[in-house]
Amino acid sequence: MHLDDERVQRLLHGELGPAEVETRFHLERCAPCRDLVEGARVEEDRIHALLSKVDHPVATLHPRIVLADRNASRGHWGRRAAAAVLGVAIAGAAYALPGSPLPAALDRLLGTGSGVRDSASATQAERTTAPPAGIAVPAADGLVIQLVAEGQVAIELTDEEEVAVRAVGGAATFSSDPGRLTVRSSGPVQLEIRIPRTATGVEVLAGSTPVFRKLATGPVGTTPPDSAGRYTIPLSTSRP
Amino acid sequence: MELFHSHFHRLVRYLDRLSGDPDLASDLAQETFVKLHRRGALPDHPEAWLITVAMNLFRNARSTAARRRRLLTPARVEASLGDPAPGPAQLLEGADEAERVRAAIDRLAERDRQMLLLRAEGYGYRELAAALGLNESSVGTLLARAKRAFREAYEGGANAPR
Repeated sequence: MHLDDERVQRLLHGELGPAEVETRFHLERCAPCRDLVEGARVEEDRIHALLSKVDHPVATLHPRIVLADRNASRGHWGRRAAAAVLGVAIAGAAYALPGSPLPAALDRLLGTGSGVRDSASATQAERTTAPPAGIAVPAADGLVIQLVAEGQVAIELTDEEEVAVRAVGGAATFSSDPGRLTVRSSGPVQLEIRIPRTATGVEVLAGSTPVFRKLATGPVGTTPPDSAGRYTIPLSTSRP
Repeated sequence: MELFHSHFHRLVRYLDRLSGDPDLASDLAQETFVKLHRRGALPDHPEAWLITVAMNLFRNARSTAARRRRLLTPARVEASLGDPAPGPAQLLEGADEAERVRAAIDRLAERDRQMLLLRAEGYGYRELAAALGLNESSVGTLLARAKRAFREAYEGGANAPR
């Protein structure tokens, strides 16, 4: 029994649930279905590449700027929001420069001009101490971590109790379902995955290709570990 | 706050691809989050809620634009609103790939367009089913059809059926 559209799409998108194991088992023995899945993957990559042709840059916008205008009348909303987006977009580059006075100036502006209660110093402390974005889940047996991203991932074993995935460079989105973590990024990103040494069944996929496994017998990666025991694996959304 | 960081850009990009208007997309995404803030409590399914509200805001904005279009003279419509779907002549006269993609998106049936664009932003099958009123068990099949329709619309260019 070959895979139908529903199964192929669900396999691509990590939506098969418990049936994923059985489906992958079938794929190992069925060349036509492997071709079908590969064709669907290529088609999806191509469609995503085409869709990105119509994208415009998205300005970075802080939620406080959005909510600061919550009392604005509907008629003024568009202009005020557009002005906020434009202002933040222009300020973005300067804001990121070391030593730039803009972060403090922006905090002062938000603190006095928009009714936001946080003090400038508190905001600054929050920014400088904020951890990288990430997600942590119990190291359940059979956990699959799917990375749909370009860049690289560094995987290391730890004495912690949870599996942790973080974006230490670049931006990524994280979602979790039972037995699966999915990390997506639309741009280059550096990810870090920390897996407990006690984990007995954690698999890392780059797209849908297995690149690392932590089984009861130990870790196995597509690249050898460095001297610190860390596996650094390149990621590509066009990975076969 | 976390919801904003993980969904704002996805929502803007989805609305941008849907409308072809980055300012409108940003405006609608912000309004969606303001509505969430005013709601006071998180909905049971925040992702599906955000998508549904954004879709409704977009429909309202589009019908407002359509009303304006009817009220304006053809010349002023062309000057003020433009034409989101390039005509055959434009396509044949070397319009670039972005215009072909834009035209292909616009030619898709509403459900196919929504499925394709929402899935491209990584929304799960549960959210797609909830936002579009579909049976979750058939989302993959419908998604495969939407992709085929897009490919045909893109490769068929101006001659693809609307």
